[in-house]
Amino acid sequence: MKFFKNYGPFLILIILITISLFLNLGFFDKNIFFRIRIPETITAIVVGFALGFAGAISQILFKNPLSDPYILGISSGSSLGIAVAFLTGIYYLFGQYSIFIFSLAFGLISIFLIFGIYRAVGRKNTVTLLLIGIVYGLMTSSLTSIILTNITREKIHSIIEWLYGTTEFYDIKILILFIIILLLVLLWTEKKVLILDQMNFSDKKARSLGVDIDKYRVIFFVIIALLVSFTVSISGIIGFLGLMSPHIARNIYGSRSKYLIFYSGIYGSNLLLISHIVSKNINAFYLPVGMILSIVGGIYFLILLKGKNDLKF
Amino acid sequence: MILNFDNVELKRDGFTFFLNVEFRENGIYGIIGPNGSGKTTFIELATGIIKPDSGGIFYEDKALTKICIEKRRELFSATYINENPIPGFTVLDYLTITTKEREIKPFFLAKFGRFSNFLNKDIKKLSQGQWIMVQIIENLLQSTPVVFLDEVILFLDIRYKHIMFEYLKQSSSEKKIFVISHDIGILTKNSDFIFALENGKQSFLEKNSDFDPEAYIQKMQVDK
Repeated sequence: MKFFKNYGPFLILIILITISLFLNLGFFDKNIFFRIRIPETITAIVVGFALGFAGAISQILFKNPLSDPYILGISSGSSLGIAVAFLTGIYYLFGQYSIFIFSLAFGLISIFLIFGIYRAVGRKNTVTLLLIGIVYGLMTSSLTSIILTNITREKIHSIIEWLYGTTEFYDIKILILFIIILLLVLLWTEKKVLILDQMNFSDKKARSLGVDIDKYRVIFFVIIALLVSFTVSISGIIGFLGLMSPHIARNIYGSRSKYLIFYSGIYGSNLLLISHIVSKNINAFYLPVGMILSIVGGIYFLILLKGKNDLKF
Repeated sequence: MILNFDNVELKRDGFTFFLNVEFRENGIYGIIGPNGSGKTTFIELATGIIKPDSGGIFYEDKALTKICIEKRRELFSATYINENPIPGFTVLDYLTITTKEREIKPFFLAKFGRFSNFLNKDIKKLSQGQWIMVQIIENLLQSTPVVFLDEVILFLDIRYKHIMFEYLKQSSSEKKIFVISHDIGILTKNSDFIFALENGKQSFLEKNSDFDPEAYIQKMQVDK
């Protein structure tokens, strides 16, 4: 039993990778396999891991098991960047790199704006930060909607495809850069798991345990924001993954960060791979991975609301 | 370890807190005072949660503001009122996280063996009294010379109150343990010192043996 608890998610991951690589491949086409199947599978694994991992940190940071990294407003900021790249026509001139740069730049600008407002408001607590994130997210989403209603039909199709989440728009250089950043973040966070554990408690308690809560709140916020900006720039908006994977991991492994954050990542990879496989193998109509996860995640969220009384920390 | 409030002043919303007092001896300090007298403010100032407008708080000769947050945990531990238990942590997890001791179990069993059945329970599933007991044990497992316990007695039944003070007394020769409560009876029964606050100022600090609870209660009623 313990074996399956510890290694089960990895076994599932291996099975899913195999399915993702070989299902309906037919005769072996080198080009399809190396240029499409492998990069798309890696994209799903890496983006899924990053979102699950960021989701777990976000839930600790905001002391709320219903928190999702997208709630912080960063993804909406990044999406606005994508919309601007399409609106200005830059995407058609420079291709996917422009999407990546605009999405990341708008994501980073969003981090500074949200923190600038947070510092200006003066009340330094998690609720203030969360509220600023929500309001910022709503404002940038509205701006994106304005752009969407003012661009041509041809452009709308491409932009919507992106905003609904996809594992198709990969660029190997961007993907490698993201993997390096993710590994660095993982190595650093691994050394700070005890601090993350202590941040679960009230700010007062965490301080009395020797945690510089103001410093680490900023650091972990930036980590979440960076990971989310990257994932949006690579595969658009994929919601609910950051909510579902930490919740599954918490139910199996408890709340200790050393297990929670890493297994949340693995479950994130598994969930996104499942959606990717489903999306790729439904031929009747186009079904973006982001939409699959939003529907499943929405139902999951409602079940959580109905069934559990331990949702509030 | 001497804890010194050196002309500490804090003004907030028309309330002025002022304290100039030194706590030299180890032992249990029962902190009493009517609502709004500054008992919790005292703990929040002593643990650096809030900063005074003027004056300084010193642990031995070192100003609290000069001690980085990471180092402060070597000086004091604290249990604040209304700390919510987080689901998914067992009691053993909680004690490991808060004491930073990887092998806390033998220490726990040696000192608090009667609660050994708590160890694998989820802290969210403990009763309020059990959760408070776990937090008190957590404070005593740490080797800090000063301990602050804010309104912990309120949620304990008679048996747990008795056990709690039994544990506190075992550690009181090496620590200063500040216990805030409105339960003057139990504090006078178990404390070494009584520290009373009134309107944000020190009313008195005296040995428990010199304290006359009836006179104090009578005075409070007259003032009211």
